[in-house]
Amino acid sequence: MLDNTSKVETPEGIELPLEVAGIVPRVLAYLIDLLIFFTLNYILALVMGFLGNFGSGLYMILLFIIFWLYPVIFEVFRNGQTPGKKAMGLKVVHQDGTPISLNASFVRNILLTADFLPFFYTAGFLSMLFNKDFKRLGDMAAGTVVIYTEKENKEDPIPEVKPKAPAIALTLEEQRSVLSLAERHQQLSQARQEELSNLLPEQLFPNNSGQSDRLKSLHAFANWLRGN
Amino acid sequence: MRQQEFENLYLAKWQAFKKQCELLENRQVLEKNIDFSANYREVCHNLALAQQRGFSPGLVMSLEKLAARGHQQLYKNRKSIFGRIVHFITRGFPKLVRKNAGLFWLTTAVCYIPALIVFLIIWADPDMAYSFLGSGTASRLEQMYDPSNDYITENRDIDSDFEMFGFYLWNNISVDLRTFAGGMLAGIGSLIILLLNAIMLGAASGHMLNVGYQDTFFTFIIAHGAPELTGMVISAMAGFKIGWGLIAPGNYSRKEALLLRTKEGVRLLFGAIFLTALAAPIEAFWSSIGTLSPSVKYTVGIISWILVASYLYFAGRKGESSLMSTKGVQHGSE
Repeated sequence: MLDNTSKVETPEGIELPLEVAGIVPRVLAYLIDLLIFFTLNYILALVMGFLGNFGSGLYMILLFIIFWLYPVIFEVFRNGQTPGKKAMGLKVVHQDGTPISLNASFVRNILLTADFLPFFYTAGFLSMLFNKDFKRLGDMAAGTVVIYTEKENKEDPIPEVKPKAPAIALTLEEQRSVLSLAERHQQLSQARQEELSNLLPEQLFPNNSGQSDRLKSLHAFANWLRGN
Repeated sequence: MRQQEFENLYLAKWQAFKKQCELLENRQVLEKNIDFSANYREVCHNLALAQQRGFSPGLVMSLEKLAARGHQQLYKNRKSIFGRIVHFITRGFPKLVRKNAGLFWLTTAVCYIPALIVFLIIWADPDMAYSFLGSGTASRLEQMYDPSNDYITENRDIDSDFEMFGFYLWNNISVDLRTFAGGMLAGIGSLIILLLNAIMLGAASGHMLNVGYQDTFFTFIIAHGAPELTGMVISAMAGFKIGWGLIAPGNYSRKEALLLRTKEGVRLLFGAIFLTALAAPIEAFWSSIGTLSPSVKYTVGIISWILVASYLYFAGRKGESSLMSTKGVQHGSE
């Protein structure tokens, strides 16, 4: 399948899907973080300006913290999410799907400097274009990926109709298609559902049945397959 | 088993597991009798079964999400960051430097040999100072370390000391971090930054000696130079480590080699940051004192070098040998 899912095999022998995020949401997240950084920096400079030499020393210490450590602190302590990433529904994890560690977060954020080269993030941009998991150089060195956070999936129950066994035996693939189509009956338009049902074997449906009957019997099969 | 039956059988468990994940995500603790990892394995098993039996994609997806949440919690690092930092500084870091002793000496040579060469060139031919430093920097240095200057012999007030402390911290650690990042360019970035700093050091030393300001200059740099220059060398070493992973990956693919070397490289960088951070208060509050006699400052400076060297050479050795012996015991009992 052609999509942005990257499968990770866990020690428990299952495959977890990671939905990796592309350039545009990540750039937007970065811009939000940059805006927050500039605002913080401005406020700091303003406040510390009143404190004379001591203030300017403190300003540089705090500048060090927000310039280099702002993303690291958020990524490590806030579940892989800087405010920008949170706003865009992204988070950063290790490429094996485990939560990001301090070391990895540090590496990927320090190496933003390398991604910046030769000017305005060209290296990072090219690296993301050519990597299948949209990794920038920092992500490659740290072994991290930026993924979409799991949204709660709405449970769309299969419409309850009287179960009916299909006339022919269905392959596993076909069973999944029937169930999937029935589960998505609220997300897809009537016409699209009918169109998709045409992809199923023709013998499944009684001869000369109208399109709406087809969907009805499809839901009946789904109920049967599910064991209702 | 049909899907409906399967769901009826396990739904309560999945819901309980989801609650447990929520609790852990909010940094709360679970009740003692809950075996989170066993529950997680069961969810994994359910997921595998649901996939294999071709249960509906909706169910599979919700189990995948549940498993992913459990996975995040199970494989979280639960050790306290503070304890890890203390352990790293007292043991891990010096051990790591010793483990990479070859690279350490190589980087040290790459730093100090050019510095020495530039120093000797300028010593032999004072005019060369202007070629290396530029006349602007040269005259600024002369101004800064002129013994007849008031602020050399008078103590600065604590405010401006603190200002310089902030400046050194921000500036020097940023240099460390950029040096490390330069490693991504096959180590060339790190090399350039290290060489520029080394040449600057050699040229400034030579020039100060030629104009006769050596006491003010060397008494200023000697004490904080120990952790600061060592930190600079180690951050370059960390950069070389990842750069070398790209040039000569050995038995790994370049991607793998980069990943592996970076893991060690970043730990070296943490140590370099520690040393550099240590240098900042010394530079701001001790080195700036101009009223002490040079002999006191040289003595303290030499002690500082000895301390840094013995920290890297001795710290964590005790644990190393005892770990080895326990390993040996375990091996013997098997």
